[in-house]
This record gives sequence, C-alpha cells and structure tokens, in this order.
Amino acid sequence: MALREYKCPNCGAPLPFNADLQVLKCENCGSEFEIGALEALELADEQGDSEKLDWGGYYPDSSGYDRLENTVVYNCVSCGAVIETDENTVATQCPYCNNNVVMTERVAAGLKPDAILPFRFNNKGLQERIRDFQKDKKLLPKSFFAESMLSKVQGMYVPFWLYNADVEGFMTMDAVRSQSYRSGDYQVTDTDHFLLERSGSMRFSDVPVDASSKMDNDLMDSVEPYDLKDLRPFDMSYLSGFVADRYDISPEDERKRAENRMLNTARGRFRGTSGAYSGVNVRASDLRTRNVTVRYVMLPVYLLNCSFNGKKYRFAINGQTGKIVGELPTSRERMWHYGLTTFFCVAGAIAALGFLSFLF
Amino acid sequence: MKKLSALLLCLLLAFGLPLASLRAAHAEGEFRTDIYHFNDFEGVVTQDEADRIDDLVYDFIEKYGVDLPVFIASDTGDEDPFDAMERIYYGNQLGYGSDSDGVALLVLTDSDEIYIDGYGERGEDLLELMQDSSAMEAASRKIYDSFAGGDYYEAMKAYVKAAAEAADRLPALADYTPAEGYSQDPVGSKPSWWPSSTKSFTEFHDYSAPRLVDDADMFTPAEEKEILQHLQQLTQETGRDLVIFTDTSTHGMSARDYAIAFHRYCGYGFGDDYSGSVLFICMDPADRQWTTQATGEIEHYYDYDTINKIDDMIFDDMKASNYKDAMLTYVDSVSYMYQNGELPKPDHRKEIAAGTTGAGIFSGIIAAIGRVFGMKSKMKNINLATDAGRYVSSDLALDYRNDRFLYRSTSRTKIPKNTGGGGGGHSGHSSYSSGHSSHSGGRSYSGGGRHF
Repeated sequence: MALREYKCPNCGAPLPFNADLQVLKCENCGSEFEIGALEALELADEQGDSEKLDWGGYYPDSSGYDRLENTVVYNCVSCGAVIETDENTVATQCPYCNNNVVMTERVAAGLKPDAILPFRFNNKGLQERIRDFQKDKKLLPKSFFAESMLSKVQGMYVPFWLYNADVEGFMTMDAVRSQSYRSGDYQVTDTDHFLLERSGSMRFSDVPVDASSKMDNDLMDSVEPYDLKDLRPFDMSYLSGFVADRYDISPEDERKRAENRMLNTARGRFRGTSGAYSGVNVRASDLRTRNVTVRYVMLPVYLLNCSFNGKKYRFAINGQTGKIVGELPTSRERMWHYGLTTFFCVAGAIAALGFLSFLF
Repeated sequence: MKKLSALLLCLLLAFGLPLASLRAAHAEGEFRTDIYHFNDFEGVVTQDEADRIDDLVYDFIEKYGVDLPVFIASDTGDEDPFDAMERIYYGNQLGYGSDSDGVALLVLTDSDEIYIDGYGERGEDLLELMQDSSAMEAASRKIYDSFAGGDYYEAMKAYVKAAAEAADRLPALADYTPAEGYSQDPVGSKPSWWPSSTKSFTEFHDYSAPRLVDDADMFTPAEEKEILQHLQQLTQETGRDLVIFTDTSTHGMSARDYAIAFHRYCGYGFGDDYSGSVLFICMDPADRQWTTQATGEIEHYYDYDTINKIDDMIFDDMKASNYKDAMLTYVDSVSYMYQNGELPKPDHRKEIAAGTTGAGIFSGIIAAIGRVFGMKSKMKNINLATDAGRYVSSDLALDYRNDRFLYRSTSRTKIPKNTGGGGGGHSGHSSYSSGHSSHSGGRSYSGGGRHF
C-alpha cells in the first residue's frame, strides 16, 4: 500500500495542513506550501532523480499486512512503529512520532472523493469555540471541559454522500371551511367540504448523509449545516494532519435516509399549498424521487471523546462553522443552586408586592 | 278607544310575559335603595297621600299575605321595564312567604305606560284574576287618566281596591289567616317581653334595659360581658343606642317585625323619636337569620349598601359559629360608622398575606422548574435530521392545482338560556326593607338581614 508522508522539503519536519491558512505549513521552519505544490515539486524531482521517491515502508495489499478481523497493520515509515488501523482509514497520525500519513492507495481503492471541505480553524480556534460553547451551559460541571481534554480533540474528515434528486408526485387533501352565526335561539355552523388536488415537483441538491458506520447518524446530522460552496476538488494534501476514513456504507444503502428527508420536506411544501381553510388533512400522496445523483465528499469534523463520572461523552464540532453538538452532563449541585435561587427570587418578589399592598 | 286599546295592549303584554327569575341585584338608575311598598319617585302624590296609600297596601298585605308594591318612575333607562321591576322586587326582598308572593305595578310617566307582573304562585294567580276583572280595567283607566293630569292618588286607591277584589275571589288569599305563619302577631306562646295588650301599649324609654339579650344562649357569660363593654363604649362615644337580641324563634312573625316589636315593646331607643337600632339573631335551626332594624335619626345610615356591607363583614364568622367575633365586628363597625359617616374598610390583610404567600410559593416553584428545565434543554443538541428544507435548490412548482367543492354540512346548537340563580337573603346579598310595620307605632324602620 502506498503511504504518503508529508514532510517539509526544506527541513524534513512533518508538514500538516494548516486550517487557518489553508496551506501545508511546516511546524519547524514555518515554510508554507500551497495545495498541489508538493506534488509538483516531487514530480520535478522525479523527473530529475527518481531515487528521491522514498516509498520505504510500502507494503502492498497482498502482503505485509496482518489482518486481524477488520484491522490492518502497517509500519510507520518515520519511526518504524507498528500501527493498527481499520481497513477504511485513509489518513492518520502515528501515535508515537505524530508523523502524518495518508494511505494513498486506499484513497483510490474504492472511490476517490469528488470534493473535500477543508478545516477552517485549528486547535486554537477550537479552544475558543469550546469556551464559548460552555458559556451558557450553566448546569455543566465546572471541571468537565478541562484544558487537558482539548488535546484529545481529533480532527477528522468524515466521508459523506451528497444526494441530488427531483421529487415529484401528487397529493390530495380533505379541507373544510366553517362559519358560525346566530339564528334566533340557535348557534348555526355551516361547514363546506373540499377535495384539494395538487401535482408538482421540486429539486434538492447536496442532501448530506454520512457514509461511515463508525459515526453516529444523529451526531453527524446535528453538526450540519455545512456551507458546501467551499468544497474544493479533492487533494490528498488536505488530509495531512488529520484522520480520515473512507466510506463503508454504499450510496445505495444510504439513499433511503436522504430520500426520507427530501420526501418529508416535499410533503410539507405540498400541504402548504392548501390555502385558507380552517382544517386540512392529507388524504393520499404519491411522491417519488427521480434523477438521483450522488457525490462523494469529505467533510471536516472535530471529535472529542471523554469520560466523566464513569460515563462516556462524545462531541462533534463542525470543522467549518465551529458548531458544537453533543450531550453534556448535568451537575446536580448547580441544578439545585439555580432552582433555589430562582424560587427565592420569585417568591420574594411576590411577597414584596404583597407587603407593598399592605402599605397602600 | 285609543286608550282602551293601549290598556288592552298593556294587559296583553303583562299576561304574555314569562315568570320572573330569582335574581338578587342592587337597584340602579331611577330605582333607589330606599324601597317601600309604595314608591313614588316622581312625586306625583303628596307625602300625606303616599302615607295613606302605603297604609292601604299594608292592610292588603296583612289581609291576604301577598305583597303589592307600586313603583312610579319616569323611565327605566335602557333596561327592560319588566327586568327592572323583577330586579328591584327580588333584590329588595319584596314579596311574602317562601315563594315571595306578590304583584308589582310599575308606572312610567315619561312614556305613559304601566307594567304589572306577578311573582310566586299566589302572585301569578292573583295577577291572572286581576287582569280579568272589571275593577282592574277601571283602575288602569284611572292611571291612564292620571298621565293626562288626572289624580294619581285616586288611581292608586282604585288599583289597590281592584287587587283586593281579585284576591277575594282567590281562595288561597281570601282564606289567608295568621295561622299560615305570615301574621304580624306571635303565634302560640308570646315572648316574655310581649305586652299584655298591644292596643293599650304606651311608648316608653328604658335606658337601663340590657343592651344584650341572649335568649338563644349564643354567648358564654364572659363573651356577653365583652360584647356589652363594646356596646356601652359605642353609646358613650356616639350617643347612639344599639341593642343585640337573640332568640330561638320569631314566634311565627317575620324576623323584621319581631325585631321591631322587641325594640319598641322593651323601651329601647333614645330621644323623642326613639332613635336606635336592634340586631336580632334568630337561631331557629330551620331558619337561622339575622336582621338589623334602625329607626329615628340614625335610620338614614342603614341603606341597602350599608346593610350589605355590614352583613358581609360578619357573615363568615356567623357561618363558622364565631358569634362573639361577629358581634364585636358588628358593634365596632357600627360605632366607626356613626363617628366617621361610613363603615370601616374591610381588612383583607390576612387574605392578602395568605394569597401572596401561596402565589409566591407556587410561582417560585413554577419559575424554578421552568428555568432549570430550560437550562437542561441546552445540554443536549443532538437530533436526527428528518427534513431537507435547507437543501431545496428549486422550490415546489405545481403543474396541477384544483380545489373541488364537495358538500356543505350544517349543525345547529340551542343557546342555553340564563335561568338565573341565587336568591335574596342568601350569602352574598342581604334582604332590605324599609317603612312602617304594623307594630311600629308610627315609627319608620329601615334595615335588612341575611340567612346563614
């Protein structure tokens, strides 16, 4: 398997992708390289001196891997450490020397992503966002988001399918319109009954569904939205410094999830065309998706796994917008504190009003 | 001919009307709160004529046990005349007997109209007979003549006479006897203070008579002593007389008349006009009630509003058998009224304190729960996406749209009528009456009371 390390051509230090600058930046000498620049350099070197392509540590798929169930083992080309990944990992870091590694052949093995959405901020920006996130979480235990936890944040490119489709069909609805009036000693209500018929179509673009079974669907759904206008043509350079997985759920298998979202929205839009009636019920509908196309993209997510009081918590942070999603623990002491404070404030205010009424 | 048609029209209107429902209400507009049995708000008769008509009406009541109130007013404003009449009738506890029997006459001088209505079974029966009688026709003619400058006094006399003639033809009224319980004299054994002969009774003052007579044994000796102290203090501070009298029965009389009789026959009251008031509490288990009756120069204090307010002040304590507290509140409030011209404002501080505390605790709990739950809802923001609204690149375009009318359905619901509720003398409203009673010896008494 072809392993690609990104090293600074000037000093040889690791060369991760810098999300703030959107370039590959050497953490040692500060050199910055645009995406594609390294490949161009290498190509030039290849033409000059092919011996510089050091693919040491390359192990083809058929040998050199110890497959333990779904895991794959390889040797880090930098320090020789033995590293296990699963068969879908396409980029990772050596846990011993932090060397950034991209498994290029794996990238090409299934489907090369059509596009990638680069990370927009790095760890520092992440810390600020987490601090902001905590601000209005008054019930959060003080020690939960300790600084030490932030070092455990893992930036990861998550594989997604983006679905485009037309939804068309028809819907019939029962509608009523009522009016009441008084006639002598009677209250009279006239109810007119209608049958509403609607037919039409609409189009959806880039409905995202995560393509990795390792990611919780609700977590990935909640981390939306992404501004997909920032999608770039895929380049492996973007993966450097981050963990990345390739898809392990096919677009056919995920199509149902995307279709359900589209059909729900379409049903609501059809129903919204009913007009001014006092009551509307859907009688029948036949809505279908057509012209479904799908793109394979990598979207940036920071993941944070932590334990607190014996319970595991997982958070996802949108690598583009910084939106943080997850379930936070609740501090019982703080619940009581805020509850009692509110109780005494409100009860006290009303008691004060009552006292004032004595005076006046 | 014109007048006869108008008369017949009026009688037709009166005959066709539904029974008045029992509603206790305070009088408004033209109808003042000092309601007698003959009420001339327009001054169409002289005072002397009014007194004589009043006596005629009282004789009628005594003989037949049915009330015959008359109202002469300019108009009833926007209120329907029959509604106004009913409101005044029940609101002022007119009528006699458990059914508040009576026939009321309303004369409107602005519009030259008369309205007549019957209340209670006997009242309705009497009205029916009156409408058929030639005497009533003659009386109505006289009333209409009065509109044009005729003699109201003669018209009223004719009206009472017509009512009496009709009542004579109604066995239930004609055979009315004091034994039925509507008598103005005690039935059976007389109370100890009753004079041996009411005909030869001479008015007198007894300044040494006890101002608290507890024949019903409502109070302990210590409580009696305390109440008496307050009564004496009232007299010292205000120079007015107040006596509290309790008994277990009214001996078949109305509470009002029994109280007045007690006040008169026991020599209470100050000055030439025997000015003073009596609070009588009847502890008959079948009919517990109290009444205040006032006469003389202090009579004007006791209008409908005042009676109602005083009764409101003591009602809860009386209901809860806190009789001593009720009496002290009563005496102190009356004393305050004599000194300040109005009753003290009720002290609701306990209720306010209790209400405020309860409201504070309840609101505090709701607010605390709301706040904590609101905070808790921020702690989890994971949801499975169910729609794709933000991914719509081309919104819904309809290529066919049709709204087809199918049919109409109609439902009709009868609007429930307000049949009214409550009655005079129940909690929340006091009875009120004013005028002479047959034992008042020329005195006028005003007052009212409540059952409890």
